Amino acid sequence: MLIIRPVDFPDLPALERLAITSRGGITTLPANREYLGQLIGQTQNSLRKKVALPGGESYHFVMQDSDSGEILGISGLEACIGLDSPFYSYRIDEVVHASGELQIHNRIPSLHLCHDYNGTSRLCTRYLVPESDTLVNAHFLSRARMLFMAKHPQRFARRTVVELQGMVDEQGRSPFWESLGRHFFGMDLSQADYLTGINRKTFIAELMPRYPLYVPLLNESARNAIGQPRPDIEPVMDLLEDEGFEYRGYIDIFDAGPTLEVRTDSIRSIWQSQNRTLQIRPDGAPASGDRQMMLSNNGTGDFRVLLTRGNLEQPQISSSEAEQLLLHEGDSVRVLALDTDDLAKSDSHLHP
Amino acid sequence: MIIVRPVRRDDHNALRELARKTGPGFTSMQDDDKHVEGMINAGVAAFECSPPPADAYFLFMMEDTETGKVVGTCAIHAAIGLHDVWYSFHLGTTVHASRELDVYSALQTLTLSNDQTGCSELCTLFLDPEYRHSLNGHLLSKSRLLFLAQFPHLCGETLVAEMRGYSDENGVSPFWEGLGRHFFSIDFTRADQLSARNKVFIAELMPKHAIYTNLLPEAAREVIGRTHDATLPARKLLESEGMRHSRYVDIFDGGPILEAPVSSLRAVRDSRSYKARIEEVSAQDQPYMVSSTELANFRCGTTYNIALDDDAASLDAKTAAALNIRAGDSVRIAPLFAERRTQ
Repeated sequence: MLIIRPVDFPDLPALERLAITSRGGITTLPANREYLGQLIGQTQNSLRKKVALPGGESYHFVMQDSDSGEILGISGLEACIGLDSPFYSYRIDEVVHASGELQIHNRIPSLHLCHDYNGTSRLCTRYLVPESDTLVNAHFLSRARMLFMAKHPQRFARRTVVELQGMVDEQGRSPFWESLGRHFFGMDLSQADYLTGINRKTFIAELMPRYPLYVPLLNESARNAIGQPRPDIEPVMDLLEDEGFEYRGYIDIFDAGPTLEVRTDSIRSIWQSQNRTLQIRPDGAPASGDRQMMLSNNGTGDFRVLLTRGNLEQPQISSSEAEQLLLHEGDSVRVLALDTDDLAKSDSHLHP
Repeated sequence: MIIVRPVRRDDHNALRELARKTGPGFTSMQDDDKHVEGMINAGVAAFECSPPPADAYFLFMMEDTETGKVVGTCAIHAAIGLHDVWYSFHLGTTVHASRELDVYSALQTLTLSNDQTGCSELCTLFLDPEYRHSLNGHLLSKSRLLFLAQFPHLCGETLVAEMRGYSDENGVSPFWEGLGRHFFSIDFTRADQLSARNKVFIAELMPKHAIYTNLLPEAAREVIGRTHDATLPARKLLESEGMRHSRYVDIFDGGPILEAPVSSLRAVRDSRSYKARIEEVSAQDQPYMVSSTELANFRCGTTYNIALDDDAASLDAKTAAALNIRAGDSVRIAPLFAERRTQ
């Protein structure tokens, strides 16, 4: 059985293995033991903290196979970004250059370095080991976080953003970085990403271009990368758009991947999830329905989510599932149907 | 004798003829009756008004006094950017460094500027190809410097000259292709022609933010500040007079803008005023520029036949007559070349 729960200190070696498998693909999951230790510490501290307004808290959750104990994935939430060091994005603005006399009307997009998303909450660090990377698991891992947000609205900001990785070429290089960032940073994107991941962000302010950049002056491959997610994570983008996230012309300053935003209370998984009273099914009894759904307890430090099938209105689970959720008959449980159009092909892998 | 004098109303046909010979791409002198008329009106007004307007357009004609034929033209714009806005790109440096990461990059930027506003400009120089010999080219260009020496109060403190930028054998400017085209969506030639008439559209269309040159295509980057091959002799001539490429380039073709304080120009520093004496004199081993000193009757020519003492200059009768100089008149004289030349 797969469960999702907050990351804890004994998970450190497993987390390190995840970071290594991800090969630097996730900015917020650098293969740096000290940093990963802090990540766990932050989660545990944040969960213990009484929070009235979102601040520097961050919450990371792991997906675990409760039978083998193996950690298969991680996903995270940051309560409020840009507090310790500013959160940078490029905003795409259009400047109109027009001359009535010459009958020329040019709309020139330009990139402006900005901090517009400072103060928002962020979904981050979503990673599944390749062998478990199915559409269902991707939804489960991503949306379990939203059940946590649904239960703890005071811990999150009014808006939530998520950054999607940008385009890369066959050699794994970001054309946007090669044409822009490299000139200013004089290092590989992976190195810059690593430094951002371990929070040495002041260098961005020191090195990034201070003037707005005219998009037509970038080379074609860089231009084409603007606002485009890496093709293999398009299903993730679909998932997020389905949740209500929208692209509003903000991109990552390194690889130009799109940043999506949403009003936190409009996230579909948040407003669609419901509180129900839990029933425990007698051993050997058949399931009461076959809607695929996520169930979470309403805990904080002992928050748990699992994936099961049943009746959304009267959720019934087995006693072993109840044990994993740390719940008893009659407890309050949060339920959310997992059915989306995308899940029709629910057994297909994200990476065919 | 070949002399340089102020433009007259009856120069219209001669100027039109010269304009015809310039060919396309010579934007300051277009083969167009209305354009030529405009040049003449502005030029005549500059010499006739007293005092001349601050942005006077001093237009000179080069004439062969023996035949009365007009063989070249040149001009000084007393102050640029007072009526039309003057645009150039300033070449700046911005350093991005992080000690912690051991990264240091000095990046070049191009910023649209109006920094030359109020400067005087050497503009419009064209010499009939048949007369491109002896000292004519030097006289045509440098007579303007002697004019500036004589009438400093009519001009700005700084003199600038735009050099035509690099274009390839097909007339394609890589700088324009890499930069301007994105903002104008028209050809270089058309943009250049339009800019001679009206510069408002530059403000409307050109980038207002600084451009990082390392984001431009290499072909465009390489020609920033590079002079067109055909204009290299003109650049060399002006450099020998002390003009230097400042940190400014033309916004269309990236050609360099040369600049110098008027008072530091070689011809200005080396020039002096004398009282004219008219007598037979033997030839010197180097040529001199000689000019009269009244604005409306300004004349400038070259001669080897000259003798200079403390405050008097002896000229032969022929030279004096061609320059409308009578004995006792005040004249301004400077060696034509910075260095003595062996003939």
